[in-house]
Amino acid sequence: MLKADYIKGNYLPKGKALSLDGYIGRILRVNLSRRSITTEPLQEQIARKYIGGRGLSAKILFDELEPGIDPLGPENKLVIAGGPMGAIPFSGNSRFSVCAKSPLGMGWGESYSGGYMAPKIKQSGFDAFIIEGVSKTPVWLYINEGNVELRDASKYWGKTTAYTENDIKKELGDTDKRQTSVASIGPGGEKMVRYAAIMNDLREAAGRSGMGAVMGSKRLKAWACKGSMKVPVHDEKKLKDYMRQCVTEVKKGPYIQPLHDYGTAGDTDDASASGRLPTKNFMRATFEGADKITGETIVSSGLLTGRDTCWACSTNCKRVVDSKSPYLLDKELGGQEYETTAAFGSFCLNSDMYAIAKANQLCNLYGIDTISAGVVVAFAMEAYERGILTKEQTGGLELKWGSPDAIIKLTELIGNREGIGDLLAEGVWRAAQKLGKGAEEFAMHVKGRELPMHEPRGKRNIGLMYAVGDRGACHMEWEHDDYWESDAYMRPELGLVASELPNRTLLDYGPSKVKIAKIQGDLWSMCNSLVVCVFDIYPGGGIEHTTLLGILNAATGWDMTIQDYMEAGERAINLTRAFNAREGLTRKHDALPKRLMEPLPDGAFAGKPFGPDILGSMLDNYYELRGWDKRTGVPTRASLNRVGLDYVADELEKMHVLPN
Amino acid sequence: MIHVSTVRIALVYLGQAREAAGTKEEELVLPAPAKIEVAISQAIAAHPKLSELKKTIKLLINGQWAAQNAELNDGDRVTLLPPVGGG
Repeated sequence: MLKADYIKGNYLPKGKALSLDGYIGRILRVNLSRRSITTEPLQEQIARKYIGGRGLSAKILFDELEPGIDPLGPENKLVIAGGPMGAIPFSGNSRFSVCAKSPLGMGWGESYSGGYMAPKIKQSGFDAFIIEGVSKTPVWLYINEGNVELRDASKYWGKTTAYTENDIKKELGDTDKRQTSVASIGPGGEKMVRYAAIMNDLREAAGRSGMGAVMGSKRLKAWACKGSMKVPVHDEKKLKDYMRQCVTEVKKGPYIQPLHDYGTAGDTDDASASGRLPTKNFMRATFEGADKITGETIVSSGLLTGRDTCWACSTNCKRVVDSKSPYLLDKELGGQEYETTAAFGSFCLNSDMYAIAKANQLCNLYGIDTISAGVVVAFAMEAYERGILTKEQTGGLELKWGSPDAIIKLTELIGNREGIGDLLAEGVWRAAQKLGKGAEEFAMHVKGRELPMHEPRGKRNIGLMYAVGDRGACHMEWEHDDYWESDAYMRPELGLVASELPNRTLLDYGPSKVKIAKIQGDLWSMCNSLVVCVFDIYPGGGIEHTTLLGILNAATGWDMTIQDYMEAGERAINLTRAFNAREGLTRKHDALPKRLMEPLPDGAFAGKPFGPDILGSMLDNYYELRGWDKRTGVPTRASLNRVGLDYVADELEKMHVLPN
Repeated sequence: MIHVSTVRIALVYLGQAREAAGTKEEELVLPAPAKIEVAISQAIAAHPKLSELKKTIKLLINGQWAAQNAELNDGDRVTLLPPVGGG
């Protein structure tokens, strides 16, 4: 039994007004080993420099984690954070971050989720939570306007995310669905599936990097945020003006209407038509079944029964799916996004959208990342085809390409770490090492993290993004190549000047394309620190970065310029890079799987590889633009000093990893 | 009698182009010889909202990238592809 006097209290400063505009001004720290709850102020100079989300979490984790720790051990810490504009209602402002050392990758781990949690984090009384240590027994954390409690979670341990969320709300006596936002792990997180997700609001996932496994290792089953605290803002009138501007701008984004109509899965047939739909474990790039699983078919078939949204967002891109057969679906558990559609669809040669919907909902219930899970299933299918995995090892399960039943059964086995699922729960990198027999050749990962569903052989900057991502292969570090060919998306105020960036086609990989990656990378990194949804932001969405900057300044009272804004994004990138350098990662880890270096056999990009020469040239240009050492890929003292990270350079020097 | 030869092609609209055209696919008959830019002009005339996408759209003929001045053959499938981003 937990002792209530150690685990419950009000942690807001009494009789003191909140003084840091845009923020609550307090960080909650929960040590599960000691069962202690403390708070600390968020200093303005820290907030201004590191903003929130990615930046603030990188600062905390770089400062507090020792390199080389076990990501599933008590030394790892989980940082859950919102941004300075949290609880200000405008489209896209509904995300929060979860960061830790990744148990899936080789170093830095981060993940983001939407839904209704982000404003509740603020309204419950804090800007961020730091979770450290390991609890002896399962617990869940309840935060309500500064009141913080650790409650016993034994009765929820072993249960799915949906069961946990619904019962926690019952335990709290909630009568309104949106009174409390709950984030929890399922059996996947408890059993430390290395790509376990944290699920909130039933259908939203902080899916990538295995943050759910870190939570499971700490025996933290869930956290719940409640409250209606108001975040102080500096200039209400100016803020409202910028929010109105957001309403007008967001609709101008070319991606917004299709996103509403067909969801992200609407891209599936487009990706196949353009020869860029990852298919059969990256062996192909077109899929004859794409039309059967694409977003439009999800709508026209009646599988889609509604559209849903995150907090304050007018785009409504979330899918509601429901069906009784061939698989029983639950409309509360959400519908498949593009990544999930491709990962469990074309990537496994499966054209059954109902099976994809089922696999998606199973992942949500067990709490595992759908991208990694789909890539792992395809890896297992290829291993089975090659005889590296036998029917004996799979427990009699026939892992034939395209088999919907095999996909669903394997997802369940992984979620429960049962049978062959125990090996596959390790992710393709570790599973391939254990299997041997050449399995490493078709384990599609970068830095241990499974590749998302975009084809670098038809989008060169995607290849660069996969290679250099500090969290491993990622598709959300900068906007994809398609937008940059046209002058329409150039923005001189952001350094995107058409005349200075001459070669911008999909297959170009020279300095112009890399410069776009760098600029866009800084911008999206800032979005991850503000913790906003890039779908609503330029170029796919219509909200301009200058408008976001206006909101930030109006909320905080700061006078940041667009250069300061981009530099804050760049600072966070340098911090996560330094985090990885401390873990021993260098240029050699900025690599792509061999299969991507080979030419595609089909589609519009047939015969075009992403050769080592192309990647080498892009890396050289990228490191140069960032001021990183070309030999090691590690930030130099000059590059760190330039963004105000002198102490990070000192730390790297002390560890003998700072380039000479 | 004067014989006028024609090319019959299919225009396939994807993503935002499908929104703008209000259809996923339609047939177009053009006098031969015909270039892809003529087909696009006719498509824009029929669906004016497509003009907003003209600058950013990419074109494929039978699944292969095509330039604006590429020549069309009878039975070609021309795909209008707006930017496909991350998701």
